[in-house]
Amino acid sequence: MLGFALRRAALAVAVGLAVSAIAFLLLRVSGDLAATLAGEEASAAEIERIRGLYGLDRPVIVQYGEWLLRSLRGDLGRSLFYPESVAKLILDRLPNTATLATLGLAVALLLSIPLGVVAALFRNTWIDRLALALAVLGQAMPSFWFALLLIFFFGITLGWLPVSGTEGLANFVLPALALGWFSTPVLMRLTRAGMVEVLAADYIRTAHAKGLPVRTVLVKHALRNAVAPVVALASVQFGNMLSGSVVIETVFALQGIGYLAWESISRRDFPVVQGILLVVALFYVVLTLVADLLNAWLDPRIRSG
Amino acid sequence: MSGAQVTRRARWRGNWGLIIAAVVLGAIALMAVAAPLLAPFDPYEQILDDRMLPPAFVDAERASPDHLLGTDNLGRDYLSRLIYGARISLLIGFFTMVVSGVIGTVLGVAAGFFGGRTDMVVSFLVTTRLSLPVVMVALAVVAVLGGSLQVVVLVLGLLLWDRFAVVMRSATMQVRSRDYVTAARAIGCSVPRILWGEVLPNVVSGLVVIASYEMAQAILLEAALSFLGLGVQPPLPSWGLMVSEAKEFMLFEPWMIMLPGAAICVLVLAINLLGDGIRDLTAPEGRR
Amino acid sequence: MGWFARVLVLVLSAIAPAFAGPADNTLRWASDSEPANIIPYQNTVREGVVMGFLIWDAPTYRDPTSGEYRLHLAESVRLVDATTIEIRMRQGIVAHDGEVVDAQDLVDTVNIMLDPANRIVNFQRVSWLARAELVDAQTARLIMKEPFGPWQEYLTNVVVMPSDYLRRVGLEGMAREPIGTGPYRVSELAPGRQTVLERFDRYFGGAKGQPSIQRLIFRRIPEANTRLAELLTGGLDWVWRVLPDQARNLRSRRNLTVVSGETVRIVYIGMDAGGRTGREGNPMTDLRVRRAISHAIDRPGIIRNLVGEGASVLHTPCHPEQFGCTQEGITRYEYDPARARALLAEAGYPNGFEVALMAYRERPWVEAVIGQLRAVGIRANLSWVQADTSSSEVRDGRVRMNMGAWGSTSLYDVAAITSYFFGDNPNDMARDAEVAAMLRRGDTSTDPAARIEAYAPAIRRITEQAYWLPMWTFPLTYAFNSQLEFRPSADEVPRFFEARWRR
Repeated sequence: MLGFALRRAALAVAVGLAVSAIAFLLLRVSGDLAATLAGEEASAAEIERIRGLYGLDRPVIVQYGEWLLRSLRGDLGRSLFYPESVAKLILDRLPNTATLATLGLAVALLLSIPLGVVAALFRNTWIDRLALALAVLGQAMPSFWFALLLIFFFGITLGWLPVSGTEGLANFVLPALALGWFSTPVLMRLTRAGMVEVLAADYIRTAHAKGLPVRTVLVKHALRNAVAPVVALASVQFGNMLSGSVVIETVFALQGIGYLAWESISRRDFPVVQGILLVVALFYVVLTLVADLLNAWLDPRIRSG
Repeated sequence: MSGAQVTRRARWRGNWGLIIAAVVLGAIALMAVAAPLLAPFDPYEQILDDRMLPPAFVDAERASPDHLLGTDNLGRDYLSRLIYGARISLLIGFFTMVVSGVIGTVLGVAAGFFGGRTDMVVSFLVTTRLSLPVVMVALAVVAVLGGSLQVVVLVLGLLLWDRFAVVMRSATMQVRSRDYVTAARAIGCSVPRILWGEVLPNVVSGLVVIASYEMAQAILLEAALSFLGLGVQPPLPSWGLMVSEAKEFMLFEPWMIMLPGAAICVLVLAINLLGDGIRDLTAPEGRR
Repeated sequence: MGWFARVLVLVLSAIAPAFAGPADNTLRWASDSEPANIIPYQNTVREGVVMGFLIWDAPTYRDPTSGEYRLHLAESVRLVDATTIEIRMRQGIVAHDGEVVDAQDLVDTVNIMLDPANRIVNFQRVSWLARAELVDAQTARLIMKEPFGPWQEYLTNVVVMPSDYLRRVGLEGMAREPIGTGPYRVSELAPGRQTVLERFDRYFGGAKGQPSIQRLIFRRIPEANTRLAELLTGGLDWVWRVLPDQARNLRSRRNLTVVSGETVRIVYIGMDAGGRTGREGNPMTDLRVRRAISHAIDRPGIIRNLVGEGASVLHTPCHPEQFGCTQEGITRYEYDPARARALLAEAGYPNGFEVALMAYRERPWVEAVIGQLRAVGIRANLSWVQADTSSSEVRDGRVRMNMGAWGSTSLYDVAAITSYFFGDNPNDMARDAEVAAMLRRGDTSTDPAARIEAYAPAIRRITEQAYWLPMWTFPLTYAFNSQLEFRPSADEVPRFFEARWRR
C-alpha cells in the first residue's frame, strides 16, 4: 500500500510540475506584455520603460523559477490590471463558480436520473428514444446559443428571471440550467445503462417474485445500485464545472473563475491566467490522488495494477 | 415476446438511425466537396446594399428571389456561405479527430502493449492533459498564436486525445494476451509488425465511437471559440463563426442564427448517431 | 421584421418594465469593458476616462458643447513663458474625505505621476511636463519639457488628487479606495462586480456644475445581447456602443431613447509607404497603388449600410473638429473601382496582389473592406489580433497594411493624432521627413496661428501622397431610459453629472 501511495503521489507531483510549466510558458513566451500594460495609445518609449519596471526583460527560465517558488508559498503574484493579488482575485470569484457548479450539477442530476430511469424502464420503446433524442439534442447545440435563448425566453419574453449578475440565487438559475443541460446526456446514458443492468439482476427478480410493490423495488433496490457509477461520474463533471465554464459565465456576466480567465486572457494578464490554470489543475490532481488512494484502500486489487 | 425478437428489433432500429446518420453525413460531405458546383454565388462576394435580406419563408415581402436563404450582415449569399461553411466545419471536425486520434492511439496502444514504464509515462501524460481545462487552454493558445484554421485544429487536436488513449490502452491490454499475439511473438515477428498487423486491427472498432464523439466535440468547441472571438478568421465561413456572427442580430433577425445553428445541430446529431449505430453493430449486446 | 420578432415586440410591449431608475434617483449603466485600475493615470480604457471625470477634477475643463476651455479647479491659468504655466487654484475645494485641496496637491500629483518608480500606465497625461513647482499655497507652476502647442488641451487631463491621502495610502491604496474632488465619490468598488458612485454633497460645482443623480451603478457585461436584455427588462438604464441594426429596432420602443452622435474617434487604413517591411516587391511604396486602394473602398456605402447614423466620410488624417485639422486644399479620393483597377495596372499589378491586413476591432467593417479590395484584385488576408499586438507590430515595422481606430485620447488637437502617426516616430508608417518637420514645427509652437500654418501643408501632403486612407468618423449610439435627460458629447465621455431624471 505504501509503495502504491508513494508511486501515485510521485505521479501527482510530476503532473503538478508539468502543469505549472505549461501554465507559465503558455502565455509568457509569446505576446508583448509590456505593450499590453502600456495600453493602446502608448508610445514605444513608454513600453520599454514598463518592460524594465516589471522585470520582463530577464530570461524566461529565471522568471519561471521565481514564479514557481513564490507560487509554492501561496503567493501567485499580482494582477497586472487589477490592483489586487491573484490569490485574492481567484478566491473572490470562487464562491460564484462553486454556486454555479453545484446548481448546474443539481440540474443535470434532476434531469438525467429521472430521464435515465424512465428510458430504462421503457427501453427500446418510443419513450426511450425520445429521452435519448432530448439528451443528444441538448449536446448538439452551441452552448452560447442555448444560453442566449434562455435569456430571451425566461428573461425578456416571460420576465421571470434576472439575466445577468450575481446578486441573488435567482441570478444563478438560468446559468445553472444552461450549464447542467450539457452534462445531462452523458449522465442520462449512464443511469439508463446502470438501470438496465440492475433490473436484470437476480435480486431484483427475487424482490419482484416476493411480491414487493414496484415502487419499493425501483427506489430501494434498483435505483440505489444503478446510481453509484452515476455519482462517480457526476463528481468528475462537478470538477469540470468548477474549473469554470468560460462560455456560460461570459454570456451571463457571472463573475466566476471562467469569466476571470477569459477576461485575463483577452487582456494578457499573465499572472491571473497562470494562477487560475495552476489552481484548477492542482485541484484536479489532488482530487484524483485522493480518489485513487481511497479506491486502493477499499479495493486491494488496484494496488498491484 | 422472446428475447431474440427484442434484440433483432433493437438492432434493426439501431441500423435505422445509422442509415439516417450516414445519409445526412454523406449529404453534408458531398455538399462540402462539391461546394463550388452547388453554391449559387461566390460566398465572399458582398453587396452591401443587399444586406440582411431574409429568406422567403421568413418574410416574403423583403426576400429576394435570388437568395434562397437570404443574405448576411455584409450582403453575402447565405446559402452559399452555408455550403462552403460545411467544408470548414467538417475540416475542423475531421482533422481535429485525426490529430487527436493519432496521438491518443499511439500513446494508448504503446501503454497497453508495453506496460511498465511506458504505461507510467502515458498515464502521466493523460493525467497532465486531463488536469488542464480544455476551453481555457484553447483560448489562451489561440489568443497567443492568433486564430486560423490550422491553429484551431492543432490546439483542439492536442487537447482532445485523452479519451482515445484511455480506451486504446485497455483495448490493447485485452488483445495483448490473446493467442494470435502470443503466436506472432513466438514466431519472432518484430514489435512494429505485431502492433500494426495484429494489435491495431483488433482495437480499431472501439476507435470509431470515440472518433465520432471527438469530431462532434471539436465542431462545438470551434463554435465556442468563435463566440469568444478566437475561432477561425473571417471571411472563412465556418458554421460556428456564422452562428457567432449572427448572434448580434439574434433579437431582431433570429433566422440568421437559426440557419447555421440548425446546421451544426444536424451535423453533430448525425455524427453522434453514426457513432452509436456503429457501436450497436460491432457490439451486438451493446444496447440492451 | 419576421414573425418571431413581431411576436417578441408584442410580448415585450405588453409587459410594463419595472424601471427602477427614477424612483430612487439611481442610474444603472453598463459597458463591454471596464477599467481594472480606476485611477485615470493608470488606465487607457474609455470607461476609465469616464470614471475619471466623475471622481476627479483637473485645473481646467473643456466644455464639450462650445469646445472652450473653462476654469475649473483653477481660478486663473496663464503662460509665464514658452514652457511655464502658472495656475492659481480656487479656494475652498475639499476632497471626498474632507481634505482641503490646493496648489500643493496639484504639484504633488504631477510630480508623483512623473516619478518613473510609480509605473504610470497612462503616461501621456503628464509626459509633456518636466516637473511641477509650488509658488505659494494657492499657486503652482507646471514646467513643460519644451514648448508644447496643445498644452491647454492636455491640461484638462491633469487630474488632481488629494496628496496627503495619496502619500498615506500610495497609488495602490488610491486605486482600491479612490478619493477625489469630483462630483461623485466611490462608495463601492468591486472590479468585475460593480462600481457604485454616490453624489458628493460638498462638491464645489465649477465648470462641471452640481450633479443631480444620487447614485451611479456601473457593471461590466461583455455580451451585447445580455446588455440589451437588461436594458429591455429595466435592469439597466443606460448603455452605449449599440450596433446600428440593434438601434434601428430599439427606436420603436416607447420606453427607450436611442441617439447617435459623432465622436473624435476616427477609422483609418494605414499603408507601409515608408517601405519598412521591405521595398522589394512592396506595392505600398508606390503612390499609384496607395491611390488605387483609396479609390477602391466605398466609404459612403459602408457607412450607409454598416457604420450607421452619425458617421461621415473622412478625408484628412485627423478629425475635422480637432485643432489644426484643415479641410482646405486636401486631396479627396472618391469611390471609383474602375480608376482603382487602372491605377493598379499602371503600377504593374494588372492582376492585383496579395497583402496581409492587420486589424483588431469592428470586424464587419474590416470584412467589408476586404470584400471591396477583392473586387479590384487585391487579396487582403486578415490577420486578426489584439489591439496591443497591432500597435507593437506597427512600431516594429512589420505591418504592410492595417486598419484601426484612433480616439486621440479625447484630445481636440492635431498633435494627438497627425503628429502621433506621422511625426517620424515608431508609429509613423510613411517616414516622410518633410511632413515630420512641419508637424514638429506645429507641435512646439505655442502661437495658434503659427501652429495652423505649420500643420496645414503637412495634412495636405499626407492626403496628396495617400499615406493613409482616412475612413470615417466613428459614431457612437446610446440607448437609455426615456425618462433620463442625457445629452451625448462628441468626446466620447458621457457626462453623468449633467444627466437628470425627469419625474
